[in-house]
Amino acid sequence: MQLSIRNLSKTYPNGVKALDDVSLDIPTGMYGLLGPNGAGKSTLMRTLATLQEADSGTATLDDINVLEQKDEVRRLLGYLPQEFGVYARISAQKMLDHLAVLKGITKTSERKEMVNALLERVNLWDHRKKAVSSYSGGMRQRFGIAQALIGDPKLIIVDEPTAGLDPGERNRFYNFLSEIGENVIVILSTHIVEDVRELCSKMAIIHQGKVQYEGRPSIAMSELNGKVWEKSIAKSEMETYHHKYQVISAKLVEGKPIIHILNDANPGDGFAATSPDLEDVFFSKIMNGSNG
Amino acid sequence: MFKTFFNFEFKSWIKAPMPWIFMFVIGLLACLGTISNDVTIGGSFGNIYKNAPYVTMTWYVTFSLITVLLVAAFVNSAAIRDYERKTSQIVFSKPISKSAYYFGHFWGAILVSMVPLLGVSLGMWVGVLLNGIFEWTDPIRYGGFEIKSHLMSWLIFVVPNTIFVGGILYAVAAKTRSTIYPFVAAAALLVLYGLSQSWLRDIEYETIASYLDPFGSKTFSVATKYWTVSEKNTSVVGLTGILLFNRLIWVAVGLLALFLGFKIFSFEEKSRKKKKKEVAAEPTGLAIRHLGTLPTFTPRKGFGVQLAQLWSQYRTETIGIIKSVAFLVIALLGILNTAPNLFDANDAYGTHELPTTYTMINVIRGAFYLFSIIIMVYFSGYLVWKERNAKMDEIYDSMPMKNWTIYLGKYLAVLSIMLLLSILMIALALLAQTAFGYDQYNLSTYIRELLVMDMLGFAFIMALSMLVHSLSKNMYLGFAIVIVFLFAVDIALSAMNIATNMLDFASTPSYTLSDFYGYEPFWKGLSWFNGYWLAFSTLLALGAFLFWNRGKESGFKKRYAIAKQEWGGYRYFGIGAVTVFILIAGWVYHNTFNINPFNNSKEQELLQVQYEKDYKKLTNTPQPRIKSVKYDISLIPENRAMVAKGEYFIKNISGKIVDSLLVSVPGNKKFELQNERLDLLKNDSNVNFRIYALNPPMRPGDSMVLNFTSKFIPRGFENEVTFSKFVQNGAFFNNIDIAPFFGYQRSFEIASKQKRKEYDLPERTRFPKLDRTDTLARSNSYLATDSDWVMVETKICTDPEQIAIAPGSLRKEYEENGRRCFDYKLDQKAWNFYSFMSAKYEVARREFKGINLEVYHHPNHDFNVERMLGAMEKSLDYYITNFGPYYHKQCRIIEFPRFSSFAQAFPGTMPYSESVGFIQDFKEAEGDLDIMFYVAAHEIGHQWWAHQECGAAMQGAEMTTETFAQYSAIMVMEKEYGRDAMRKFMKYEMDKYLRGRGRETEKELPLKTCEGQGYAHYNKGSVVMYYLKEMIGEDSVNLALRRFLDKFKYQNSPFPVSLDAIDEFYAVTPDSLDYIVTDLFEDITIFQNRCENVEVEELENGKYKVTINVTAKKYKSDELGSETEVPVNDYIEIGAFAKAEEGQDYGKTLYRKMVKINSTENTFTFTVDEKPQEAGIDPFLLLIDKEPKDNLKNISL
Repeated sequence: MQLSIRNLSKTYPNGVKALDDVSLDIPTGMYGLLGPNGAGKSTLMRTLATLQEADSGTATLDDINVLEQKDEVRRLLGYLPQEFGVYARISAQKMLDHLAVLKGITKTSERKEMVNALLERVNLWDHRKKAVSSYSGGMRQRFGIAQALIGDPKLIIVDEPTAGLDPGERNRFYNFLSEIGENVIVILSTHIVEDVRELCSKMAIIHQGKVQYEGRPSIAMSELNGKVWEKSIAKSEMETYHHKYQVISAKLVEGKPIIHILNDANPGDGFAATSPDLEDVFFSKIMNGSNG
Repeated sequence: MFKTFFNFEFKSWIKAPMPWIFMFVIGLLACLGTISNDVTIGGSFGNIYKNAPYVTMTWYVTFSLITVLLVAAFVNSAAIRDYERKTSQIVFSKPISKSAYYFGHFWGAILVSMVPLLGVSLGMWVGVLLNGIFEWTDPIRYGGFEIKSHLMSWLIFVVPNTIFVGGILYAVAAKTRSTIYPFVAAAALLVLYGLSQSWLRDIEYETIASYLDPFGSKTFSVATKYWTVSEKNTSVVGLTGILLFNRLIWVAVGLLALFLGFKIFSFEEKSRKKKKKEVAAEPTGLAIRHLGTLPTFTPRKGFGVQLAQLWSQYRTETIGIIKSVAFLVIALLGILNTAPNLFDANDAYGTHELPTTYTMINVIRGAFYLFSIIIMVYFSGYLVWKERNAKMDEIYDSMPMKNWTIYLGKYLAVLSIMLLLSILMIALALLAQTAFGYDQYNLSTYIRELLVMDMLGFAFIMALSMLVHSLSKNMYLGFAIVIVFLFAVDIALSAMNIATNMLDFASTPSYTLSDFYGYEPFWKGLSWFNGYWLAFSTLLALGAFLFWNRGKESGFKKRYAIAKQEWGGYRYFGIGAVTVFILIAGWVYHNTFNINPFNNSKEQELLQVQYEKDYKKLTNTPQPRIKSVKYDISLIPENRAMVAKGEYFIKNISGKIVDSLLVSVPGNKKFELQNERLDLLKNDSNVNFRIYALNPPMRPGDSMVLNFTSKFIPRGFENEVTFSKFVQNGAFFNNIDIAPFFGYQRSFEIASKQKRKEYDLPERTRFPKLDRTDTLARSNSYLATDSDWVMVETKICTDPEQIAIAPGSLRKEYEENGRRCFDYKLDQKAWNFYSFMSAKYEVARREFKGINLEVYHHPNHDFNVERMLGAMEKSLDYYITNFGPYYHKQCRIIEFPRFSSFAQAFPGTMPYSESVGFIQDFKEAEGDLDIMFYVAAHEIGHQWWAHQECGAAMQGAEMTTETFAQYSAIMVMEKEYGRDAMRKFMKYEMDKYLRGRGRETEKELPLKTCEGQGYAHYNKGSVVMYYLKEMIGEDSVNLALRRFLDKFKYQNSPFPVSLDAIDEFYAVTPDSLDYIVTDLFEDITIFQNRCENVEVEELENGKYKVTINVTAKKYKSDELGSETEVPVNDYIEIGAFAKAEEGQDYGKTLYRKMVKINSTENTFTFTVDEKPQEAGIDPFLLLIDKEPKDNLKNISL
């Protein structure tokens, strides 16, 4: 099973180019879609989830035209949007049951079995009779996962799924995802570099609607070997360094900024070599995108 | 500190658009009302200026009620803003004073709440200004800008009402910190208001209602109810008396609520404990378990799956609605508003009626549907937005179900909620009927009316609403469009004079049900029009399927592209739906435009104008007079078809040569006039007018026979059913519906003063001037222009199961060609004005003094038939004894279907509507006026007053018929119920008269010159005749009437005028009392009698000494109600009453005496045997009194 996206473009009526000639090949397994907020990730996700129309380009899932055969896609799809709510005054069980019918699991016995298994799986069984609207953030997110798994989906799209989860919960969620992702396509959109590094064998970096990089995270990192340098500087010097070097990131460590710069050779000036991580890849790609 | 919060509240609002938008809307309405000739909101009509002080105040009363919900919005937001924006913790952690915070926000919000009402003054002002330029409406309809009326409106209504409503709602909002409860409270206030008004609508409770109305609206209408036109144009209600009290009471209530709210208000966060409980506890242990693989059931597809999805959607939505607070609250308010009305079915005259199914249905429509419609409009929109509002749309929209299943699931959910509510209402109605002991349950009518007819209408509107919401970018915009559309269509169509139901969304032909014929005459048209709108709604639904707002695209282009993709799935359904719609629309168009074309009201008016312009010049063309008539009428009621043949015997008594016949022919019939001497010169079929040349002409004294045929054969169906008097069962039509009449008909002209001006027609008097020397005008009675007393013979055939009735005695009943035929003939010549009827009747008979009394009625309507016969007997007895013989051999009351609600008198025959008298409830009637009895006595009175003599077509004509019929009925009632019992009747008559004169559109005239003004010839007539009788005695009045009658009985021209009767009154009145006849008949005389003070002293012998101080003033009024005081020197009663017994309105009369009063202030002392409850002047309302209520004063011992 393979999802092929070719030359997908989309411009919003207000002129924002959300997708600019995007082409990607997504095989089964976990696929990370990395990009800063507003990069066009959600637009791409929603387009694949049949919620938005592309201006041009194609997307095919094996022999299904994703942009036109919406019904077929929807039957294969499991979608967890970035943000979602639920109706008031309806229990998790009933809501899942209704969604399962909408998905097409119309045989009552099958549906019952599936809903119960899902509730067990996401550990909401004890709370199945409670209204989803009364759930805490984490429980609600688990409900979201449960609904995305209805009907044995072949294409699972999860948009920024870890927002609002505590670290423990995040880990468990990722284990779960990677387990599912063995046989189906799971597209994980996120702006958190860690997520992708931990989970995905393939990834793409998107910025300003364009694909800046597509490939394996490890290869991307190795490409930067010997090119990333770091230095602890004073806050007041920041401006100067930005002028002088290609600063790809700056973070505070114990209150002092440590900057990473991209340079083919050792720049001296107190910079030390550092092994590039995915974050460096991310920022360098984004920077290239902006400059280019 | 107070100032800080006050300023903050006020300024933050005043910069927001909301107050200004509301002001604009209100201003627009007021402006439209001011410039439009057709809108009469605010009580401006006739001679009342469109910007009269009274009208201004009425606008303000109305709007200060409507704006209750606005006030709710403003104070609610003031109270909970900090909680909603979660700024409460920040704000309350500051060192602020609780009272400054609480009251500062309140008064700021109150001030803002009043801003929208500025729109009333602005709108009216702009309206007058604009009309000054464009003159849409005649400038004489406007007076000057009366600043005082605007200021007083603010003082009396706007400010107190805002404080009252605001105080309560602010307290509720501050306490509950919820958005919904203040609105619930606002709605509850309105419902309570409505309830109190309906419970207190009997004028007996007027004073209580005046105090209890928290908005002062009833108080205002009571204070001004007898205002004359000139008072309405110039006077402003003052803040005095009950109005002042009322305002103080309710402002105090508002402030009290505000203060109580303050007492329980605190800065504490609403206890979070409760909230915590609702949040489910975090599960312990692993959040996500590994329990093996999940079951791998793959989604199915196909039609069965779609049906299952529809069902699940439907079930989820229905349960969702039922569980929602909004639904529960609105439905509960609706039930609260309706149930009491169902269990209480009074009518206007303070009598009780049987709780028929029609009454119940009307109550449900009137009291409950507002709430049903709110639920429908709200939920049909809300459900479209439900997923997006809950932010669940992305999950939902990426599910593989079809748009139509979501749509239909939601649609059916709302529809079944509506059905459920209606079924609940039916159950309540049945319960109420059972409680009344009424056992004619008519379940099928409930079902067809409420669950089929009305539900179809709702279904159409819902289809529209859901399409609008699917297309709209915003839920609130969607609501606004739907609501505006529902109002705008009607307004726009009437502005464009489009009357076809095909363009008026969801409208179908109007109809009236009856136990006689059910739906029969209307069924066909109703079915087709409903089918038409159903097909149209299917197209709307199709549109919603295609454009269902699914996914995140909002641009039109993209949505259109998606719709095009969707079309593939709906192609066959769509093509089918469009085809069906086109076919039905074509058929409906063909039927209502080609087969049965109709005129809209504008076209109708233009025809009237054309008729007047073309033919008025023929007014004095000599015409023959009808002397006798023979009919041969064949009815086929089951098809609503008839062939009526007639034979006129006409005679030229004009003294001139008649060389042409001007013939008005019955409308919508195939009509032929047969005589070889006639030559059709002109056939103006638009106005049903023909001119024939007579060859040879009729010489003076000549006579001839004229045959005619009218055929009525309905084809197809109509936009609105015409000739609906002819129905399958219960036909009731007049001779003018089938027979021609001669000459120019003044009655066809446009009567309204304003309309005449609009069409440039000359001013027209309502009646020719009263002038006893005007022999031309006196040559016709007001009932006929082409005949005098005629003899009528009829053969009428109908369905074998029906009885047909024509004027006169039944000579023969027989069968002919399978039809049931009847021959009737008058025993005495009568006016050429009578009815024909046919229905499945049951007949109750009785004989009285050789007269056959008969009541023809629907077999199920036998409740009051015996009483009717009794009333007929008593009436005939009194009239024969006092006025002279009855000239017919039969006296019939004949029930006719509910399509009209009146009773009428034809020679010997009195049609009486199904909805009058037949359904009066005598089980509950203790103390009620016996309307059935009164109406019967009045109509039988007409057998003398109208059918033995009838006034000339001249001012004052109705005095000789209606006023005397009123008097006759009063005398029979007095005999039956006693002199004291007339108090209640007179109170109602007085009330109707005083209100009627306040609404006069042209001018009030003394009784002798009354011109078709019901409030004068009926209601004032009653009071005036009764006082005359009290003063000169029953015998004298009857003698005068009898002399008058004897002089004109069955006489031809000249016909009597009011002065002829007045002469007879003078003749029987002692000279010293002649002024009374003048006051009563020749002038408009009004008293202002009032009891100022009562003192009671218990005497040693157990009796009571009563001393009353009364004032009496007397006025003469001119035509517009301007009054001049004249010295009082009149006989006026004084009296005292005991306390009313339980369940009675009035107590026993303890003292009643006529005294001569010749000064304004008077004191009287008398003794009574029992403890008095009230005493005063003119307690029985014998004299016309501006303010009848203050005649008596309660005694507190």
